[in-house]
Amino acid sequence: MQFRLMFQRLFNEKLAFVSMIFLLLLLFLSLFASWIVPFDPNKQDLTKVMLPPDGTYWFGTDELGRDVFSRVLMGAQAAIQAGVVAILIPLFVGVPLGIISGYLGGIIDDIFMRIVDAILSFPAILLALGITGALGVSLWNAMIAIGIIFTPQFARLARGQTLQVRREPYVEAAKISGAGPLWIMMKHILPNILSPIIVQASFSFSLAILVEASLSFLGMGAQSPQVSWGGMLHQAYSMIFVNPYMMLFPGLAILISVLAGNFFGDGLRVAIDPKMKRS
Amino acid sequence: MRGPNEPVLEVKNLCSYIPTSRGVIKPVNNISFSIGAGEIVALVGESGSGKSVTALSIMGLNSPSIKYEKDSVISFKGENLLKMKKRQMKKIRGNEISMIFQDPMSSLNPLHPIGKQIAEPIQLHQGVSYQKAKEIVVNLLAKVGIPDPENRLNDYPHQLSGGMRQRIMIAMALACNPSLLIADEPTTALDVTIQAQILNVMRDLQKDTGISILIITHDLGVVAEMADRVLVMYCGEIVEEGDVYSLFKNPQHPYTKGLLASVPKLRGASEKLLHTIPGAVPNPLELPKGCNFSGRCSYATEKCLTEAPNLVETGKDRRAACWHIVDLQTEEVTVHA
Amino acid sequence: MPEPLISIKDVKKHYPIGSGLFSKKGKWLKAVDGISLDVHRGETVGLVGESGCGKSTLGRMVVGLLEPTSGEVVFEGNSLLSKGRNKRDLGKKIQMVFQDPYSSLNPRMNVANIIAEPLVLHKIGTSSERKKRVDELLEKVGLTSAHGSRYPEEFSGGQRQRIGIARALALNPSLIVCDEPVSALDVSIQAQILNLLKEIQEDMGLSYIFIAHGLQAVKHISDRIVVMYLGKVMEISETDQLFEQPLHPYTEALISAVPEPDPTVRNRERILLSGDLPNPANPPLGCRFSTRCPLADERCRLEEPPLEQVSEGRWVACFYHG
Repeated sequence: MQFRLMFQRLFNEKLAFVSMIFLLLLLFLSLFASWIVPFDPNKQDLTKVMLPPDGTYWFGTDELGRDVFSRVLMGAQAAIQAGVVAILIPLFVGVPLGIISGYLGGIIDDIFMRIVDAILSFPAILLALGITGALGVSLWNAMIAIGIIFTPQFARLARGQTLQVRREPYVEAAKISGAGPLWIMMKHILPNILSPIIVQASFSFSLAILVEASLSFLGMGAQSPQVSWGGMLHQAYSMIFVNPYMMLFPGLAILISVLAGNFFGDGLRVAIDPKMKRS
Repeated sequence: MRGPNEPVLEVKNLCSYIPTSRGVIKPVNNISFSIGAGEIVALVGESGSGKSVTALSIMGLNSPSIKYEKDSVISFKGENLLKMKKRQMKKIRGNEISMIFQDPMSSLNPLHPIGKQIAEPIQLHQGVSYQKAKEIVVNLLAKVGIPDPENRLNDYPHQLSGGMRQRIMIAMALACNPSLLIADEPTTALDVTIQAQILNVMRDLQKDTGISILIITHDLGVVAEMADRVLVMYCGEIVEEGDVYSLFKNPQHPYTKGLLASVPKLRGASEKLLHTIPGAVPNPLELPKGCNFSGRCSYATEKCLTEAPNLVETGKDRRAACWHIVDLQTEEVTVHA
Repeated sequence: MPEPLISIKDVKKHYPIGSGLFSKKGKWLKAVDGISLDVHRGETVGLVGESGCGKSTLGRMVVGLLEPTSGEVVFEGNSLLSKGRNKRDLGKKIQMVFQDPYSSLNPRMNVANIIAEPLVLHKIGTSSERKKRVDELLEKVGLTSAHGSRYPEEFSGGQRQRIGIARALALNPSLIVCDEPVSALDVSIQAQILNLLKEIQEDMGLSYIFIAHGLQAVKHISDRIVVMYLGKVMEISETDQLFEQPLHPYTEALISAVPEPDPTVRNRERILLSGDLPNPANPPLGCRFSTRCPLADERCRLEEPPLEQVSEGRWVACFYHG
């Protein structure tokens, strides 16, 4: 049925398809990073500091003699975790709130949407800093902060979509058949608003990787010894004139992952609704 | 009755196709017809019959994904519209051939008052001043039955009812005295009493200006009220053609016949069950091998399943594409349940 | 006269309009303004009128999608307006067939689940019994059980409307409100659906409220017809009588406006109404039809004619009826 067709269309979007393969690879790497890495990413070897890339150390080494390639691989773990947690929170909190708000309307809608407005009125990175500041600095808290920041967007999206769908005759038909609000929201509204939400989720995923990197760069995310791309960048920042490779590889990792997430989201959007092509 | 002696528009072997990943769709498959000066021709058919694609082909407004076979000709005043450059086509569109649509709101700009919208093309095409154009507009609005036209000039489209908007569309279409008006389901979105008004306006205007009209509709009632000549389309082909009186009295193609019989009658006692055409229009990608209607036709024989009939002359001003025309003529008009 | 299946008693539906911050209060759009109607068992009543006449609003109040502002709907002796369990059980008996066969079926559910949904919601039968019932219903509307596993997008408009009818039949209703069930369909398919509705009625003995703007379909299927205009009833009559001898000038104009598929009568005398339908938010004083009525005089413009019985089963709201 529709999903097969959607996948076919996605396959036709070459860039999106390649991005999807890359993201799957990234997921695989992050899951099995600890077994794949050629060297212990935290093992220091002060005899081999700041080597340029060669056959042994593919991405070179850092100022403590740690293998950059292994560290980039381990960093994928933090990035993927951030991405996943940061979309799970809005999916499981924001989307239901949006649907309830949109379907029931009235005072509930007013209250929910004013809260959403309030959260949205802060710049995202400031809010993330504030939340991590309050919760304490760790990768886990940074991810929660990112999730909280994304929640209002998902709630708004879900609400907007719900407002369109709830007037559809099939919803009325369900009411006549004896369906209550919960049934209608679960069986009729959710499945019909899911597509744009999935698209939004893939964009948010790449944004979350970016925000996680920013927070870690600022020292508000992953803490040593946990490896993250943002942290690596921060570390490399002070060495930029000594060993630019240290900056290059985590930077590229962030860039490619974020681009892949965005291309995939774009392709998904076209696959779901071909009419929206290249707007 | 005006005969098709001096055609304003002549369509010859019009054949359009859309290549898709699952095969070629032919929205219009080799149709030929002409529209005489001052004639009202109706193009009838159900959804997917190709009637709208035909109209848009004439206007040059089809989406670029629709391609035409090489020998397709739409000849207007001796020129093939399909071969025309975009710029030339723009001059003809709205000026010599104009079109009105089912939904007038989509062709009116919501941000400008209607007076300005009608006056602009007049200024452009006729090179007159705004004042002069405004006079022409007031005249036009009065002609299409809009009360108090001077004061309507400054109204915006949303302030008008559906019927009024369709009148405006007609006024705009007539602004440059075109010789052909294409009306695509002009009254389908309107209420019955308003539909009657609009049809009346169109009829009167035709008499006054002598314009030719191609009216596209699925409503056989509208056809019977308006048309001089009728073209019945099914699956991209013309299956029957004839002057309106003889076609309604004696439909020759089983499809036309079935269509006429399936409309509930307004006069006399109600029938218990309506005549129906069984099944549905075939998928354009899986058209039958022989006659496109064979799968739904109660007259179909072996020949119909394997060989497609051509549209042939069947009488004075009559054409039909069916292997069994002769058999049908011997029967009464209202037979077969 | 046996007790009617459903009695609509002076039902009104008024919507507040212009409830914004700066607009005047107390303006109401009277979508349905006091309508009474009985529908008997096995009967089909047609509701006809142009846009804004309130026919769909009335239909929606009957199936419970809208709450009337005032008035009462009594179904099999029980008021539909009382809340709670009782209402849900009564509601089972009143179903609806929608106009748009495309948007009235959830695109993410397969046909079997769509038809079984009312049974699931009312906890009727085990899952295998429901499956059997779905197959029965599919067959009844001219489809096969193999269609059950497919999704709505795979069907044509006519087939979808059949699925919608099967869903409406699932709970064995005694009344189905058909809201323009054929107006979105092709001509050759309309006849199929009208015939199907008639066959089902004969088979199951249920009643229809058939809403349409097209007079032909209504005439074909209805026993009685209610002609509405701007939220009010203009005329009620047995079908054939209404078409033979319309009493209200609006009915007459409506019938005469229908284009007939017969070119030999194209030059017939026709009543062409002048002007537009008035805005329902601002209906004319007096008789609502007075602004377009060829017979209207001073009295019609000031005083509203009551709906009066003129003969057995025939009601008209006009001072000068035919």
